[in-house]
Amino acid sequence: MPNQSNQSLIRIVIVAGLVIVALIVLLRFVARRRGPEVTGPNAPPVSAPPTGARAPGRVLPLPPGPLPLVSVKPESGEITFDGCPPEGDSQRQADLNRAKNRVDEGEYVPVQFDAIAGLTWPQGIERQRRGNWWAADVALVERYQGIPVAVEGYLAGAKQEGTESPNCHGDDARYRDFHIWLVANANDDRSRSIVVEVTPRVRANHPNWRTDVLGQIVKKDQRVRISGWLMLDPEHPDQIGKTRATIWEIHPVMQIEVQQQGQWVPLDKLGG
Amino acid sequence: MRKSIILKVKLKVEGDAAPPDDFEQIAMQAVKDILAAGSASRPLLKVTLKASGEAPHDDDAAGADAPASPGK
Repeated sequence: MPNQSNQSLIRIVIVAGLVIVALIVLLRFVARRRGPEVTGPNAPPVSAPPTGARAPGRVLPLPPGPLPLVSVKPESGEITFDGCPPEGDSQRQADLNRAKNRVDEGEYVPVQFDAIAGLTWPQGIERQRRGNWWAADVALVERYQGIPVAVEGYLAGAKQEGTESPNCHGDDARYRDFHIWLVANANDDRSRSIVVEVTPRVRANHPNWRTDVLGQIVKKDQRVRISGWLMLDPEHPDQIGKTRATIWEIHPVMQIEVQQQGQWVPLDKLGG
Repeated sequence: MRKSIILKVKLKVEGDAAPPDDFEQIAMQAVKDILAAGSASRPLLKVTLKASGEAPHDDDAAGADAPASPGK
């Protein structure tokens, strides 16, 4: 009898163990299907799984809110573009250039314009290479850098930039960034703008992303939604209040949409 | 009379290089070499390179390709 009792107990333990394992597997599967959770700045951090370099991005169907906290950010997808590696042609700026040159899409969280325009940064990082930042400053920046965001607004201008190390100083127009100034209201000037940057390696997949097309959007005061990766560029603090409101940027821009009859239409699908 | 002056000079350096080659380093070394090679032509002047580095972009410039709409 004691032997039979022991065997029954062992069976119960094994079955219970199998049920627990099955529950864990099921819960993990459900969590993956749901995608990243979005939380406010005071909520516990969550993970945002990568969508993969080749996966199409999407804007999460949420109203614009505060910046989310994302505990595990997607690894950046990188490519060599016409011989130019992700770090560009500068080892000194390799970290910054890698962030600028990512090409992967994400699940973009709609955030309010002011959530980025009003986001602070540690002053010690201004005009400093990341290697020279204090660890505490790195942690503060990393809290938000690399979050996939979508922001609505209007364009105050768009301009092709000069040659730069992220683009290996390529002289041809196809190797130049576009600086775009995004403002909250149609009549705001660039001093209140968030700079959002279109990079050559993303633009290569968007033939309609041209400065003349963007210029028409500026002139018509069309509402736009810009999606991409939140990034801090420490190089331009002198421009605060002149040509930008913040050194936080959306860089690179991964999606440009224009509002037409209440719908968001990708710029690629507009005539131009 | 002994004189001296600090000049602010803006140079553009163009040329061919492999994409990953550090063009800022190449350009700065070229400027140093050219200054050294040319110093013999002006033996009465001592020219010293005090600082060099890539110039920041001029974000103040209006967007020539897509000018801001009126009032911006």
